[in-house]
Amino acid sequence: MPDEPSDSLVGQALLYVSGELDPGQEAAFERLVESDQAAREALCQAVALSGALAGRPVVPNPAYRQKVRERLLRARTAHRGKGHRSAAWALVGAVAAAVVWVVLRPTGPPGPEAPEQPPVVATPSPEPQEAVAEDDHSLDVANLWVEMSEPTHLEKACDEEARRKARAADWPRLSRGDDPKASSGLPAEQAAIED
Amino acid sequence: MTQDADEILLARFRSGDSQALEAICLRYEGPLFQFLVGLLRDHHQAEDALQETLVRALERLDAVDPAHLRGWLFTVAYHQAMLFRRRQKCRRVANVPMANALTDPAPGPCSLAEQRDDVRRLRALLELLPAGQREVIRQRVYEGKRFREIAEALGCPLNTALARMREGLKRLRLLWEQSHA
Repeated sequence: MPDEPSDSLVGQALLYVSGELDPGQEAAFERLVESDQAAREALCQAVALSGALAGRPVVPNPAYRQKVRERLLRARTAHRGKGHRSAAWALVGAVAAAVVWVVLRPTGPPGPEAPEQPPVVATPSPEPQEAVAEDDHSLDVANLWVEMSEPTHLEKACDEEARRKARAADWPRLSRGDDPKASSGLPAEQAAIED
Repeated sequence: MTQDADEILLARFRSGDSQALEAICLRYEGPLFQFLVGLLRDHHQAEDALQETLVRALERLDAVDPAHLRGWLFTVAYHQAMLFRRRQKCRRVANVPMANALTDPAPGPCSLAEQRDDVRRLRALLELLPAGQREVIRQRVYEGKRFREIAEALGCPLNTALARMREGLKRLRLLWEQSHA
């Protein structure tokens, strides 16, 4: 249901339509109809009433509808064409990604040179998990390759490896309760900070 | 026959139903055209702007909430009108009668005769209105007075003169349609 305009709004619209508003009022009314639906409806009513005054209904020539139909059909056809082209590019991208994956994945089973597995490891595995593990492995290789190509990353990787080994060495001792701070339940790192 | 709600019409339009487009045009062309005539003061420009409005609005329907279709169409119409104004560098003249924008600027001889007939009928129907409404319309149409001048002449507030004009025209329109039925 369209917003029903107030009498004063319609009155203002009638003045606007008849050109009797001063420039400031005219600009204000035009700013109003930019977003206020009731003001827009008031303007429609004012024009319709003025048309009644002229003895003629204010309606467009119906021939415009055919032009609208033709233009929308052209626009739809063009859009479908663009859609086909987008799908083609997506396919090219998918093929490229598959090629990259095939190039980076390892050719044999993991050997001693393979990177160490993280401490928390999933329990071995029915077949679907083997496929997932292989994907993760190839991703690790890809990430490692990227990091190795940057010298700063290489230094950081060495530091992190040293820290990891230190933690791993401390773990059995801490779990036996040799460290007084470990008996309080504090992890080794936190204990180191508090020292 | 019940009319489909805007949501249903839009869904039909999106699925490619050409009848839905016809229904959307029929529902909104009147108000949109009146709105554009009000802003542009030119019948032909308003028709061109109406065409642009519907094409642009219906091309971008994916972003529209069907419940606000009417508001969306009017927003697009407003911006089209402003664009047309900038292009045409149209200057509104204060005393250009709206009737000039509503009628065909170059009517043929048959149209002129019809218009003379219509004017005679209109005068006759005017006599059927209440006195207050009749006087406002008479001074406006036949003496070309501005609303402020009419209010002063009748000794009433401007808003009263406008309200009488509005009510009088509505009644006149009803009488006109009844006489043509």
